[in-house]
Amino acid sequence: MSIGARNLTILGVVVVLFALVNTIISLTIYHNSGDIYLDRSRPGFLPDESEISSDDSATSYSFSVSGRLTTADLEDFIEHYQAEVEKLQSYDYAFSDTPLSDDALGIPTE
Amino acid sequence: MPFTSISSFPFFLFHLWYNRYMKKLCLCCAILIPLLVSAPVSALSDNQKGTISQHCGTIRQMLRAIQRDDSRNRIAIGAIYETISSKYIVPLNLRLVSNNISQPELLNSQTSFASTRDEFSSAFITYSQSFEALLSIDCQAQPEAFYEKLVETRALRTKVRGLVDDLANQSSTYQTYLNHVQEAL
Repeated sequence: MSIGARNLTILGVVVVLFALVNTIISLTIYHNSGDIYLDRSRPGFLPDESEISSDDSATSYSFSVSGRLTTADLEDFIEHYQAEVEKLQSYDYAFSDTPLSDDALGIPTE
Repeated sequence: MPFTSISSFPFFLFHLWYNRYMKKLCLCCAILIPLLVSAPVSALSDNQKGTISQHCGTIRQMLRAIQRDDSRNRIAIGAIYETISSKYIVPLNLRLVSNNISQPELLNSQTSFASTRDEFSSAFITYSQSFEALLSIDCQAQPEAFYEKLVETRALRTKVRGLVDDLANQSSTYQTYLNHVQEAL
């Protein structure tokens, strides 16, 4: 093997090792920082297609930060805001104690 | 306490008794109570240990389903929090300031909502890490360690739940403040 070919091989190995170490460090930070749990694109944890609702009126609504504030503007704002609050209230079951209880997991209570 | 008259005799006796026994009793309590409080949760019964070991696979399967549901709920609720904050609370407060309308409750709500939201994210991360640790325990071989972690995870879940309730209450309170602004206009 010529010197050039050997150097090229060493360079290739070093580059692969460098990429590997960087990936390991990045994934460790990603996991330890807790970002993995907030990642919306985490495979296996995304909502099914049927569960995704397209609420165009809510997503398209925007309230201007400038201009005179009129009663009509505020009424419109309150109406849209109320819809968001109701949406939030529909998740009142989220993180309830029941799913992790002994009964739910089938562990007998003594 | 000096024994000066016959009427002070009962107090003298009490003083004597207090000095002799109560100090020792207090010292014992001071040592024993923290030890008892910090003692681990009572051990599982053989029946409970047996059930956990026997149904380990099913329990883990149920836990994975709960973990998935939690993640979905976090995404959905988190998106609503983001919308409420960035599309409603912040723009309205900016508009009120530009219109020279003073509503300190609304400004305070913005700060409070943002900080509770951050708290919710941190609590969810801690809870998820505990959940992951729970799933990594072999419940068939270590039912006690598994149950101990389960109890810890439950407590963290309750904290997350409390913050979800808190944010829901804050968003409802904000709505009440909006009605005040409407009346003021």
